[in-house]
Amino acid sequence: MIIDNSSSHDGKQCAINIDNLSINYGSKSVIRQLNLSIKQGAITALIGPNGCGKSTLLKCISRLIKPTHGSVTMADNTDVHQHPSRDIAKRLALLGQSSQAPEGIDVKTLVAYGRAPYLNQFGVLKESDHQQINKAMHQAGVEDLADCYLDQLSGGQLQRVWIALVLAQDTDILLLDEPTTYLDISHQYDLLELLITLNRSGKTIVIVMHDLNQACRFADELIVMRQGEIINQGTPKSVFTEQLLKDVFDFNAIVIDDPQSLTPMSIAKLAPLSTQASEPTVLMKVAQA
Amino acid sequence: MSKNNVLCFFALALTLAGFSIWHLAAGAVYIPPSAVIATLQSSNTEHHFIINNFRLPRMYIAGLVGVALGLSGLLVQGVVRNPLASPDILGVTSGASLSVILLAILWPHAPLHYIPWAALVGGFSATAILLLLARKLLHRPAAFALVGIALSAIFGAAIDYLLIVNPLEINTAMLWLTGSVWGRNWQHVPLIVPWLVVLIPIALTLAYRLDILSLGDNTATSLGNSVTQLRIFSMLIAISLASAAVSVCGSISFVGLIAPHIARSLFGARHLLLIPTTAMVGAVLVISADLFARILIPPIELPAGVLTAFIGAPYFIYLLCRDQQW
Repeated sequence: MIIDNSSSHDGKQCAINIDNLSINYGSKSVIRQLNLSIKQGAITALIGPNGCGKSTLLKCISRLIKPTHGSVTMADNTDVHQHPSRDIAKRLALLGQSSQAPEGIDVKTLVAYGRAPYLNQFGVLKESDHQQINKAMHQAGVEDLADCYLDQLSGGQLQRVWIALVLAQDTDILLLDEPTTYLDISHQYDLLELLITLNRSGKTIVIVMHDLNQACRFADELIVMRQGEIINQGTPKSVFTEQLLKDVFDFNAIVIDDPQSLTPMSIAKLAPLSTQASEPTVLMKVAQA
Repeated sequence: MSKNNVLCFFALALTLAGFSIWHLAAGAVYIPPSAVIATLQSSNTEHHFIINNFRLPRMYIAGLVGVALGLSGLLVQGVVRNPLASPDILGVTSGASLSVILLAILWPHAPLHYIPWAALVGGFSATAILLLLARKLLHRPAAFALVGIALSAIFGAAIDYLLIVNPLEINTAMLWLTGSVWGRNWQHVPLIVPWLVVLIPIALTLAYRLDILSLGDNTATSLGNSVTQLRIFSMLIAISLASAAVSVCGSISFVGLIAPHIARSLFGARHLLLIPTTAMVGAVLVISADLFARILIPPIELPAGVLTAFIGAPYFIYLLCRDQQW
């Protein structure tokens, strides 16, 4: 699939351009000659089966992995791997999959580290930095937790605190690697709604997602990957088909419209497994007696 | 710095001053603390000779070695991101020891003041070997530390072998190895002071980035830091500090492990505050160890390293038991 590097097909500006990118781990090739542009101001979801290279791609965009070949550039052609890392950190933030919380620091201190790219050697915060930190904590809804220590927080709260940290970084582009993984269902939707709010305020968001129906519901654009290559890119409606699920995920499903958002959603086609649909078993009869 | 921190800081400074004066007071001739303070203020007292020529340099050396070892441990723990790491496990100490033994065997009549330089060369060679072998493991701190432990074991075995094959030359070497401040004088002070004067300010400029490194490699990288560069640089400083300390008084174990822990429990996680406080805790540890090494069973003087090990090893076990993650 060939995509023009300077702008995507519908003429919108591109936030990130990936040109002929290959990544090898040792002799194993994880991503092969990949070309991609990510639309500015959109929510783009990266989906694909386990090991397809979607997390690797995100890590490469955020400079955690160096490309073996090819380049990742931003809207003004700055190569993220060549340019000083601090400058890139003012434009592009990553929320990784497993962030470790250090011992003995409180929420406000952690969020303040998001200002690191703007600070001097000794990390002295100026008034404007304090404003950004407070704004980030407000957006992520963790103001009330400002003085709490990290080990007092629940998983959902902790994830919001990490979000506040990347918001304090004040970047135009936000990359998130499966941010909903350890959250219960209501916190998942809280977080996705927060991302939509941020997107409306102008941020470009790229998110690796496991839950396909959530991806369809929240993303403007889907990028489907398999074995280090891009299989398809486009709006959920144009991309998310029964055929695609079969080809890419080896998943037999029907695709219907989500009754609430009218975006596509998948439902597995399986023989009935649950006991609810069949005759009561011997054990159930015993239990009743 | 909170009010609590200020109080802790003063308490720590007082403790340091208290042990320093006690250290000067104790010995074969007991000098009352009031006389010690009077002697420090003017040079015309009866104890001037003993204090200025014997006890003061020894106290300074003990304190400075404590500073160097404590800071070295703080940096290593910051880089390896494992609270159980210390310069001892990176092979620096045993590399330095091996080098001193080699000097004693290959050149039995070498002047005594060559020993510190031999130790320094040994410490840095051990570091060079470690970085060469484990440079690909820098992003896996635990694996990196394990390579250090393996190297230490090899150096340790070499030392044992040399000591058994050449039993006659070992006396000075043995005394030096156990980590003693005995017989150190003003000559030894310049061997460690320049290191501290240069390396402590550099460590202070790294403090904030070490804080960020504690958030993990990925977060630190995406916040614009070159993690590998920061690791190598901090490690070199840590190892230089440890080598300088070892070169003056042999291996005083466990100070590099314990001092940062005590400082962290008192002052939190910010390295900018931990650097001065860990240095002070380190000084208190070595000065008090040397003090008790002298007064516990007079007239026998134990090496200070024996005392730090006696206190340090149980503390190490306590840490392992308490910390459920390891």
